[in-house]
Order: sequence, then structure tokens, then C-alpha cells
Amino acid sequence: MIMKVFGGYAGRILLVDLTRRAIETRETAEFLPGWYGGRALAAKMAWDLIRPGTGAFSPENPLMILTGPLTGTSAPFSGRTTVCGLSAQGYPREWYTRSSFGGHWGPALKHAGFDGMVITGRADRPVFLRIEQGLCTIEDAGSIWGLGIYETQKRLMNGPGWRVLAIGPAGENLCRIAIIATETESASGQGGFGAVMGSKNLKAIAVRGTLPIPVAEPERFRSVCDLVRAEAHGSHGWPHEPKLDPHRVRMFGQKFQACTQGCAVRCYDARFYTSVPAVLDKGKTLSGQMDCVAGLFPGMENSFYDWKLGFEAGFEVGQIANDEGLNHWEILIGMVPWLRSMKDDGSLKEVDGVPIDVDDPVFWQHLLMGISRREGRVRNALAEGTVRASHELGIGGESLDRLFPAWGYAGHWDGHGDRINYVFFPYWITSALQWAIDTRDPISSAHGYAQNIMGWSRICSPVHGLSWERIMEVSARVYGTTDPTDPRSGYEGKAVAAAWHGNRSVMKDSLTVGDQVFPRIYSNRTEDNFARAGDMEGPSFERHMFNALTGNDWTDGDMDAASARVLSLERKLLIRSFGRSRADDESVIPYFQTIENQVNPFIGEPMGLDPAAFRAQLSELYALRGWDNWGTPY
Amino acid sequence: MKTGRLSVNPVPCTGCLNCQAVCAQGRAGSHSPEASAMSVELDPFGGIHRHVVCRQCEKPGCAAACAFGAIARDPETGAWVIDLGLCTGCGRCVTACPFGAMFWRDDLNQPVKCDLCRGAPRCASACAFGVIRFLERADPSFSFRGIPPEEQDPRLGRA
Repeated sequence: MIMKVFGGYAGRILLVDLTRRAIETRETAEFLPGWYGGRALAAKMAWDLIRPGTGAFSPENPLMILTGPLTGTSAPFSGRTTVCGLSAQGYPREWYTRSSFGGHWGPALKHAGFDGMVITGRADRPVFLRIEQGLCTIEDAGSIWGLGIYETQKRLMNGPGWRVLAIGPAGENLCRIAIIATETESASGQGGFGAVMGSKNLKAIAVRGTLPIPVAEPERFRSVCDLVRAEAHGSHGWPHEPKLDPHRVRMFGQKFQACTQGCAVRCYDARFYTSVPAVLDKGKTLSGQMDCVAGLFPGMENSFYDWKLGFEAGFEVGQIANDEGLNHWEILIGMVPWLRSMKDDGSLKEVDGVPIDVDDPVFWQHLLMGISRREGRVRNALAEGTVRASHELGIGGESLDRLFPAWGYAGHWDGHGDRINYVFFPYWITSALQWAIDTRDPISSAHGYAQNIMGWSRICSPVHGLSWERIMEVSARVYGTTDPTDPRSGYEGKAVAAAWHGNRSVMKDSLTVGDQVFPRIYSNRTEDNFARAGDMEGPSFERHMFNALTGNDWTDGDMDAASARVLSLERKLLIRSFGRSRADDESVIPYFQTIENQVNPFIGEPMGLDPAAFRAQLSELYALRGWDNWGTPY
Repeated sequence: MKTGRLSVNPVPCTGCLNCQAVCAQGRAGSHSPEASAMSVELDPFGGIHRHVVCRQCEKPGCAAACAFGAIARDPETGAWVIDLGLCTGCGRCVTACPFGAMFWRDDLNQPVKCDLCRGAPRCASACAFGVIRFLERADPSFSFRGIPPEEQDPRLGRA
């Protein structure tokens, strides 16, 4: 593997020790070629920095916020930023993990002269960081401590070009489900990194810059990016483009909004609303973004999430969660369904004096504001995350087992706890393998498997979708076998898919590029339905952009090997610091043994996980990763 | 070669900044917001972003302010372009533009101006949402002033 470092990097990594109030820098080049950005770079630094015995709230826990070589360039879908460190949300241990956010902050950091930052220590009083044109200063945050995320940003945006990353009261009060956020809906949601930032007494990071990011081969990079941008379909890699809702356009000023810089598609999930009348704060009109899972705040008829807040109240409650700095996925897919089941079985009728009523926005406001401020016994427990709260309160263990697969995170594309995403056997076996070897909900950067297959199937896309035979044919070019996508394949080939998509996850979080678009596999713009642009094949788009930008000539194999090495180093760190073992990995089995939500039409009856067949796939996944049968990298 | 100007309808803008990125990349080969001959001022809380692009005015203030005749119309594209051989870097053109669409590069001590990419503006082709369009002079709705009537939006206060 040859690395010629020409383009893509700002060149320096900022090291901030808040205890000593010391600011230093390191050359990014020290970590190249192998640790090529974002999550990859973080893994190497974590291995060097994290000692056994360090916890999420230890001052020594490095909060690493990193961009990648593509971030902030004209590469489409390249505005994301990766956050890594020991996680407050992790359960039963505060494992090392990662999260990421969109918006426009990461590109601004690069233009300010830094590829990323490592924050250690704990300030003796609240502070924020101001980073501009290669300089970083530690500033007093006394006047903004306690403010919501929106107001904090507004106070620190001193003119055009300033971008602010902040925590809300939830992070300040060390809620384990606290987010770090920018703008109105871009957040490092999972992981509880808002609490890690709060434990360091760090309220916000304001950045601005206009420094150039070099490009090794400008003409080639321009042409590759133009081709990739033009090839992209709708978000989720799905075959059709979404439309706005005419009623919401008229009533609330609905419009498409990029959830990250560089996004070039109309999205299923990301919408901005310019004028939504408030229900709780009467007389006010709210504006802001509503993306992804936040679409469930209003409630969804005929679904598991069928509470009846209605759009206006749901939007307002979502904005409260954003402003207070709370994790949407945890609240909507985990906590509120759990509270509902507690109410149904009579284990918990009220939350700190207010009856549980998920149709009432006042209840939601009481719940969220109390969690972020740790008011009342129940809400203080819920601030630890639903899983820890269930243990602390001594209720709801059975419901917990149905909603939370592992590691303190609610279900996601797993066919069981997450009931909003449509996926049936055998595809959630790959999800189960992904969950097994991870330390968090693994789907954040792994939508490319189950979501892609279901989205391109005629079940989810009756008009533009592809036949199962065609999906298998196309996917065989990626996986080398039709098993990962064959609806009749059972357990065969699922480890192959988990290994391939695991590497792609690292790639996306390291370069950085958007998870909902990459990898490009299926297309309805080519005769054989395999994604292609110019002479590039879809699954190699990221590599072509990387090579033209940096001046490297990596092959797909090089990129895969570099990404696999990151996963192995992360695994070694887990073993060293937490004694992670195969027994931990297999702890996901009981959750997946329960009966699935949707039924595969080729099977005709609902399925649960067969532990023996799953263990065989897990062994195969270890082998594909170059790990021994106990899950230890050689 | 086509002649015309850029037209902006900010309402459908998603704030992706692809326009600004491809402009900077096309002009400087690298990526810096300063190298771009246009800018987008994001409004993350209101959602309507402000675009600053050169209108290729009929009577441009930038050209009138230049004492060295460094800004002249390209007869082929209709764009007003800077002859950097004549430019002294005095910066008067930047202050003269009433729309703030003449930019400045500190690192090069030079003004930066939209030249319509020789009749094929990259920003317009990179925009997937129809926010920035290349309005050809041959188009019946072509005007040097304002935004074409069909793109006006009462919510923006433009009549």
C-alpha cells in the first residue's frame, strides 16, 4: 500500500488538555498511511491513550472529534464528523465506541486548520473552545452554561461562517443519553458523548476558517465527484426520489434540507419546517429540522409508535429534545415504548407525579425536561438511559429484553425491537452478527445491508424495485456469492455480508461520507442494475474519490485491509481494557431468539434465531476478520 | 458558447454548499470558501439561506470603480471578468459591488469574481435542487434585474 500524502488533510490534530489548559498539535501525517482519517485515526490514538481502568467520565478519557480526508471538499455527501471515546451510554461497560454527526461543523474545522481534536482533562469551571484560522483558545463559558443547544449556538455565532458544536443541560448534568449537537438536528446522538463533554466542563466548540484543503489531482477529483454526485439516487440508496407533503408545505413551510454538507439528494428523512405553531409554548412559531427517527415524535398511525401527539406537538417535543440535548433514538425506539409497556402492565403508572400519557405533549415535556435536569426519582434514573433505569428502579426487565438488543441501545434494523424498519429473516441475521461484535447500535454506519436490500425489493419499492433474482445477481458482484441477499438462503453467507459491511462502516466514518447513500450497489440507471458512473463501479466510488483527492493509488483491497485493521485494533482495545470475549458477543442471542416482527414470504411463518447456526456464522465472521475462535485478533 | 447570468431561488436550497465547494475547487484546485466566487450564508435556525452570486450587471459597479480597466465583459459569455495582469489588488471593485458579490482572497491579495465558468457554471450544474440556474440571455424571462417572476416567493418579501 503506497501513501503519498498530497491532498485532503488540513495537516494537524489539535490536542486540548482542559486540566492544564494546554493546547498542542500533532501532525496528521504521523498517522498516515494506515489510519487514514476519522474513525481509523481515532482507533490508533485510543490504543495509545486509553489505559485499563479509565471510565467515560474520567478526565483521561479522550473525547476525539475527527473529520476525514473527504470532509469539507466537493466530494458529495462528505460533511460528517466522527466522535470517538469511552461511551457514557455503553452497558454493562463504558466501552470504547463511536458516533457521528452531520451539519456543517466538520468542514469548518478543516478550514480552520485541523483534521480533528482530542480533548482530555477537566476544566475547573465551564469553558468553550474558540477555533479560528489555525488558532485555538479556551474561553469562559460561565454565561452560557445551562442554556439550551440552540441559544448556545446563537450566542457563539459571531458572524457568517461560524459553526458551533454544543451540549445542552442533558450533557451538563451527565445524562448518559446526552448528545453533542450542531444546528437544529445534527447530532452525535448515540454513545452519550454529550455527557463525556459535560464531564470535562466543556460547553461548546465554535469554529470558523477559510484555510484551503489541498487536492492532489484537481481535474480527476472534480470529474470523479461530478460523476458520483450525478449517479446518486434518492437517500437510503433507494430507487426513487421522495416528495414533499403539499399539506405540510402549505401549513408549516416544509422543505428539503441537507442533514450534512455536501448532500446532493432529496431525502426521505430530512425536512426543515419554517413555521410550525407551538402547542405547549402557545403563541410561538417554531422552525427547525426534523430528520430520521424524529419523524416518530408526532406518532405514526397503525404502527407500534402510534401515540397521538399530532404534528405540531410532536415537532415541538422533538425541538425540546434537541435543545435539551437528548438522544432521539433512545427516547423514541427505547424509552417511550418501555414506559408505555410499564403503564400497560401496571409496573409504573406515573413519572414523578405526572401520569404516563404518551398522547399528551405535557407528559413528554415533563419527561424530557426532567431527564435533562435530573429532576425526580424516575427521571433521574432515566437520565442513566432506559437499561440502567430499569435495573435501578427494579422494573420492566422483560420489556427491556424485547426492546434493547445489547450494550444499552434500543433496536435498529434488527427485525425485533425496532418496529419501524421492515426487515425479515434471514437478513436480520447479519444485523445480529453486527450487533454481536459491536459496542453500540451498529447500524449508524451500516444501513447499506438490510436497508438497501429491503429498499430495492419490490416489497418496499413496488414500482421501481428489483426482482429478488436481480438483487442476488447484482449483489454477487459485491459479496462473491448470492447467499447474503437470497431470501431462501438461511444462515449461509451472513458472516460474509457482516464482514464486508463492517469494513464499509469504518470507511464511511473515516473518510467521511454519508451512510444513507454509500455504498452504491444497486441502480436503476444501468441496464444490469449494478451502480456505475463513468468507468467506476458503485462500491468503489469512495475509493476513487479518496485516491484522486489524496494522490494515493489504493486498490479496493487496500481500502478493505486498512478498514479491517481498524476493527481489529478496536477489538484489541476492548479486550485490553474490558476483557471483551466471545461470551459477551453471544449475549445478543436470547434477544434474537424471540419471534421476528415481519415474515419472509418465501418462508411463510415468523422466525427466531437458531443459536447453533448463529454461533457457526459468528465463528466464520471471526475467521474472516482474522480473529481466533474466541474473537481475539491474531 | 452560451451567454447569460446566474439566477437564484433560495427557497428550495437545502444548505448542502455543493455550489460553493465546486466553485472553489474549479477556480483554485483546492477547497477554501475564500477561493469561491460565490457564497451561501446559512441560516440554520430559519432555514432560508442567503446566496451571494454575481448578477453580471448591465452597468457593473465593480468595472466602473476600477481605475485600471481590469474588469471587462467577455463578449462570448457575457460575464464581466478580471484581467489579473491589469489588476493592482487595490480592492475598490470589492467595495463598489452593491451586492457583496465581488470577493477577496487575502492569501493572494486579489479579488475573486464569477466568470460563469466560460458559459457552463459549475455551481448550477452541481445544484440538485434548482436553486442556482444558468439563465440564458436567449431565454424570454431573461433580465438583469431581480429574480424571474415565476421564481419569486412571497414568503421572502420579494414582490
